[in-house]
Amino acid sequence: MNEIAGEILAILRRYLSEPTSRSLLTSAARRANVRLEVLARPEIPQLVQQLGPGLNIFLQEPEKLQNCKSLLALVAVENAPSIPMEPPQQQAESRPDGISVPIRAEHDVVRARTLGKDMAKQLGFSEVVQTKVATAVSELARNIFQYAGTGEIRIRRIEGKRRGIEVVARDQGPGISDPALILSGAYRSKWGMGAGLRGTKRLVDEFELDTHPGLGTTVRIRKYAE
Amino acid sequence: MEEGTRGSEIERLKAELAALQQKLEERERSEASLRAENARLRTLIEQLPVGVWATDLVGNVLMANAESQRLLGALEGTEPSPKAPPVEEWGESTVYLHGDKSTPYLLEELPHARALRGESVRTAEVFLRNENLPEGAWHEVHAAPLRDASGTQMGAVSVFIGSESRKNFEEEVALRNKELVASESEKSELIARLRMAVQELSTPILTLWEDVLALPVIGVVDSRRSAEMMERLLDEIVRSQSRFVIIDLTGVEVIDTSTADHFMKLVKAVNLIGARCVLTGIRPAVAQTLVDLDVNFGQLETLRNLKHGLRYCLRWLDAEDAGQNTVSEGEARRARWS
Amino acid sequence: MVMMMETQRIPIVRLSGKLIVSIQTALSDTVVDRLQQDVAAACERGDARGLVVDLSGVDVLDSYITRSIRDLAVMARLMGVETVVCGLRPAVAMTLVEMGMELPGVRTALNLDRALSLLDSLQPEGLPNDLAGEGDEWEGEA
Repeated sequence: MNEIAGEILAILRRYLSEPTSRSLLTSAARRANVRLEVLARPEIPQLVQQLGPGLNIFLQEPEKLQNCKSLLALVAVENAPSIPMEPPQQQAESRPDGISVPIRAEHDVVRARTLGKDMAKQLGFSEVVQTKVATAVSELARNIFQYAGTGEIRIRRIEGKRRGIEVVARDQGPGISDPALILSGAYRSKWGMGAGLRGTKRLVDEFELDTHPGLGTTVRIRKYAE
Repeated sequence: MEEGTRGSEIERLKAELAALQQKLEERERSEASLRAENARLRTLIEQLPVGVWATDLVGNVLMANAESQRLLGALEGTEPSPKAPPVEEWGESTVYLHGDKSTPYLLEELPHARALRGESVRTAEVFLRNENLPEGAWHEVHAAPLRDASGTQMGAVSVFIGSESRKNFEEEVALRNKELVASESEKSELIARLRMAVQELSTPILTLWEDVLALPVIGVVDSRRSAEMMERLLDEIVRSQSRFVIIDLTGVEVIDTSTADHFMKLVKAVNLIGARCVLTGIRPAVAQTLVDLDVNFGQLETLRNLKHGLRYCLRWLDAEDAGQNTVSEGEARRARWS
Repeated sequence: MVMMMETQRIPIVRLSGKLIVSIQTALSDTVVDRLQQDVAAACERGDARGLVVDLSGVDVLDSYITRSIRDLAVMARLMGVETVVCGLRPAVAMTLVEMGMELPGVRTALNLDRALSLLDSLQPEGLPNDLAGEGDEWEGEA
């Protein structure tokens, strides 16, 4: 696979798992009669055309499908950046200790939880546990967005004796003045931040809350594979 | 007087001659015995069941016994060559590999080469392949420097034996180990499957009627079992699109807080996906616990046993299918208490 | 090149007098607001005999969205239109229950078909008697 084919694979991997991306790409290349080791930019449109049916099956959400296809089309243009459209500081960076998603707008909540679900899936978690992880991430991300305005969700794998996933939600918002009260459920609002945190706590194996008025909030959760 | 002197001179010479002859004979005798000993030693080395191969520092072969030739793949009867090529050229005719059968030996690492440099090498494993040994052969090699009487190194000797059978044995053991590990993991997989089967058997989901599932619960329900049960039940409800689930607790003698909690969660989840639960067979002790826990029975119909439960569900289903939302109070009561 | 994402609008389908809303994509603030407005407008016309919210396309429901769906149902009921939620996935249902989340006062059905029949059988004026009470909540241990 040459550099150009590598760009296409990287784009696919933003939406799909590694094995799925690879197999889609190789079979599309076969059908389009192009060789991935020497892929040239003019060959890309026909390759993308052959990728179409596969993408339609694996990417159910129309928004994602459209994004993906646009990105792929961009690769065909000479000298076009193969980096996605958002400015560099906005994309999810992959750091050695996990993937970080900045939370600035509401659609970042969806991005964060989709990432959480994907990672849980890659770790082999069952459907139910994937949903729990995604829901927990969604709660934390939404809390950031609704109460702090901006913040970050970082998701990383836990390796070692116990495999699992860790999510750290950090913001510089107003902080919570009485976290124990909020978490105990004594203050029983059915909805809102407290309910979201209590609910999240029930879904995960480990839950840590670090907060102080004026200093922001950090929530750390972990879910282990059984 | 001349005759006398000549006479004694002759005698003297005769005596010297005799002494010389004696010395010569002695010499010959000791040489013969040395030769004999030499021959014996050579025969001994020749017949040793190990390969012995010795060279001086410039490659002249001092000794190459029959076994060494055999192990190196030489054809029977051929004379060993009197001169070995320099170490750098050894790789041209032969491939030498390490114990893993894939990492090549650096030529200077070979035992004889190291011995030539003065090192003593014990138990080196060498796999070699040459045109006479296309399949290759395993050798266990020991090598040492050869020193003369003054201690100066004048050569090196390698002793090697074919370790084919031992190598084969080792490989077989490794293979057996691998098989064992595979069967171990197969076993633990089997155990996991069996455990799942036991779980399914102990809380089977039965199709009692069209649109009616039954879940007879037997014994203790721990949190893992309850999570698994919930998942199975919900999946089955969706798969069969059954509107009712009769949870029969006849087999549950006693219930604790967390089990009650699990059941209530189960009921709520069933309601969320659009089906309804009916509880039957609640024992007195269980009833007491549920009351103590202040469990809310809002959406939950409870009946005496499975039979009553089924009758209730069927009546309800009939009514629903006929377009009425509710079974009349009287009918419901009849279903409950008859 | 800038990618403009249009605010999605969830279409409201009319079927034999009932409104059907099928949620396929991840709900966001704006989409929910839009939906509430659209549903309110449709209910106001006075000829809606029920509302079905189909959640079979939803794979994650957090507390915010759950509340929004409930608000939608309550709003519709206030305008005289009963709501039934259908198609909730087992994994999502289990997660909601684990979190202690509820949809109080909202009926559920296994599928769209049943949801429609249920609405058919409900008397518009009378209070159906299988309704869970408001504020019904089991906050047990996790």
